[in-house]
Amino acid sequence: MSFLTQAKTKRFLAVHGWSGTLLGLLLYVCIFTGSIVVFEDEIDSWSRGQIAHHEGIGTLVDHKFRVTARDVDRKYYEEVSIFRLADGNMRYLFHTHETDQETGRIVEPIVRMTLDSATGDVIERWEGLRSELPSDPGGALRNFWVDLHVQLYMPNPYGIILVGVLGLAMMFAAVSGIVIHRHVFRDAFVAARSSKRLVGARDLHVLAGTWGLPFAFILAFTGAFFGFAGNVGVPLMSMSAFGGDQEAMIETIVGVREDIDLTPAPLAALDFVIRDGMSRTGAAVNAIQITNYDSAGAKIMLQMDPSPGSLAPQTLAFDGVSRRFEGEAPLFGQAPSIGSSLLGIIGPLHFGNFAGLASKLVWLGMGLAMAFVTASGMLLWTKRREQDQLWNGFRHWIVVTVWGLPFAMLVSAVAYFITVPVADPNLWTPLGFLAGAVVAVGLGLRTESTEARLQLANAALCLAMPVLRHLMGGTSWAEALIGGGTEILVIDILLLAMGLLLLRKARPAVSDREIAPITPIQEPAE
Amino acid sequence: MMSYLQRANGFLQSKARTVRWVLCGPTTLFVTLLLMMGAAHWLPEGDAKVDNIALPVLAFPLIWVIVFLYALAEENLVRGVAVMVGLIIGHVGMLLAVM
Amino acid sequence: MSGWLILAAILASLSGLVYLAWTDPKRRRTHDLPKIARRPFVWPARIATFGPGVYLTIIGHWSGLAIWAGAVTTLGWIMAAITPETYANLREDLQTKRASGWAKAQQLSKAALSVSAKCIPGRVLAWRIELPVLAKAPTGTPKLAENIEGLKARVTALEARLHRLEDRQASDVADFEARDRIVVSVGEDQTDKPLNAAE
Repeated sequence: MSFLTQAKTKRFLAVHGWSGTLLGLLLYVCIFTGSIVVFEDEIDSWSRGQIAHHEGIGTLVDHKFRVTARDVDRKYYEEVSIFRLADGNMRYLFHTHETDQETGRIVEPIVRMTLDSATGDVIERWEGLRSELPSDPGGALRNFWVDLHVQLYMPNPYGIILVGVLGLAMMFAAVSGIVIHRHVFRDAFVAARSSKRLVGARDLHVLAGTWGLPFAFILAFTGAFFGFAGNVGVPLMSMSAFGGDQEAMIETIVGVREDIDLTPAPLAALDFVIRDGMSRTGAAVNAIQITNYDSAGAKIMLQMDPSPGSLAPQTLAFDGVSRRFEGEAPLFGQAPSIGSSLLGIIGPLHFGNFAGLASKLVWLGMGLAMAFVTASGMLLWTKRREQDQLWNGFRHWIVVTVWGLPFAMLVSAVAYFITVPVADPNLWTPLGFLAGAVVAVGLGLRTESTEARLQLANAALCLAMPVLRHLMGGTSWAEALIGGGTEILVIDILLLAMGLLLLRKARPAVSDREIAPITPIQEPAE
Repeated sequence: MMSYLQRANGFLQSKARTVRWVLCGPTTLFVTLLLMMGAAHWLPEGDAKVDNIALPVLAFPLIWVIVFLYALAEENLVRGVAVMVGLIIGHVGMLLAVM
Repeated sequence: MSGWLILAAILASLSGLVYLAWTDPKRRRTHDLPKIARRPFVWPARIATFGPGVYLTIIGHWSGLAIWAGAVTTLGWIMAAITPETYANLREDLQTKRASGWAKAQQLSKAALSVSAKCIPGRVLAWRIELPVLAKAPTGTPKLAENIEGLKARVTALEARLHRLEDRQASDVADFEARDRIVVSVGEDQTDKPLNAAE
């Protein structure tokens, strides 16, 4: 290959290896947590112990909404959102925009209502500024794990940007991996040779890297986009294209609707609009947005689930009074565009949430494969240098991180389940993670059979988690089975299976070391 | 002319590692941001008038990888520095002119 | 409907990948498997592997394409990452289990036949069933016999090795204990003597 001189390959390998080693542990944390939070909605309803609903918002919304809206001041009719919560209850959000007299900033007063899924009664009503919304204790576990992935639980915006940098590093690692290895196709089926030497470790890393390559690139690319778009990209673009005038940019992107007719007029029948949207796209309605409710200028927007065969969800716009279909509302801008369509698939491609459980399972698998690539790469890099005491020590702590991370996540879940009924889990879940990390480090201080010990610790928590969840008042298996709480059953069973698997994997290793013979058995010379 | 180039090359080669670091690190990031911002002015807007904003933001990670790979792969350090400096000067000039 | 389509696409690609992996020259070489002279189905296998992706692209089933691509790369990796040795072990495990299952079924059926043979209709039945069942030994059996012979030989060899090791270890332990006794007795002497001396 003429492109690759020896010096070039050497440089590529150096940057591939060094960036992988320096950022590898963080990258591993980011990738592993990312593959777990693919199931964030399922984890949410599992941790809440509630049976989730997937049928969208249904087709019988209209009457209940009109009756409930009568109790809300007209000023909040500017924007209304209707959607279903993970526990099946309905949420109505009425809000408006005002300028705060003291600070001169735009604030968002809201009225938030929760309606019981069965009776339709308002079971919770909250009024105030959006920025002062109370935290939700039930969602603490999901939020913490998502935070861990999105910003490594660091303050905004540093965490997000750091994760964006990790995404860039991962993109480079994927590309440079092919450049360095070269024989991507020739070695695509070479399983790791059972050699204790370097070649076996190299086989492992190369094989996983080869197969994981296309999606490593896609996930890293979309992840890096999320890391930089909001904090770096958009402000800079507004500076470049609009001379720093963010409002002008918002006008271009969202549009300004002037002279809205606010004379009272009844809203079109929502249930008809919902059916119309469903028949147009073949998908369920995920959420409804009504602007200027109860006036002649009202508009209804339906956020649909992705229709069968497509990646991105659509938003349909209807006239709020005549319920005339006005077309698909683009994500970005006021007319369809390539940019908007491409932006629309970034999210689904990163989250894997476009086809229910099937796509999520595949994304989980790919995520774990990628975590394996990261870990095996770091182990290979340090194995190359195992003569060096420092590198050898680092190698040990890589193993501790690989198994310590899931352990600390499990401990955070334990902390969540224990504190939900008695204290604020938003505080205790992260503290639980910290405690888990400390314990993992403690287990790592004993150098022999660390891996097996950590596996055992993970196994114990995996096995204990369903019991703990149940003891703390979570939905029982019988209730879940009858009520259709699939994710509760699936996550519990997955945990138990993981626990048993790790137990089987770790136990012989631990007991072997415990009674290891003093003299090593040697091959008879025959 | 030739001797200037040779002298520049000699200087860059004597500090090859540092030059490479600066080229691949801060320079690459700076060039990427400039390329993104500059694209707003030459990319077609499209019917919705948003493509020239959306596409550069979207392509940011891709631009970075391409520029980084170039900065890392370029054997001729003089050419590498010239390309990067050229991109910077060209874009800064364009942005100053239109903004 | 589209779920089955995607599943079929994934399975088709995996079947192609299984052939490609099984006949892959480098994989066979690095794992000491005998060389395969001809690979007549390489192109059909490649088409089976990539074809479903092309098909999903043509019909514009983008979510299916994404799931297919993700599943095939993940499962393909797992399939390729498992070494031929592990597959061989798995197959052997499965064979012994199947063989022992067959043996158990035979025992059970024999017991059932002997019970039924106590009455004449049963005897007739037994005669009729026993012939085909017992005359036609399962194809796995001769191999099983070979396996058993092989295993017996291996067990004898391993036992011999174990004896040798035990002997060595016993002598090691004896040696070790002898040294230990010396240390202990020296220690005792040292602690005892001053005490005795004090008395």
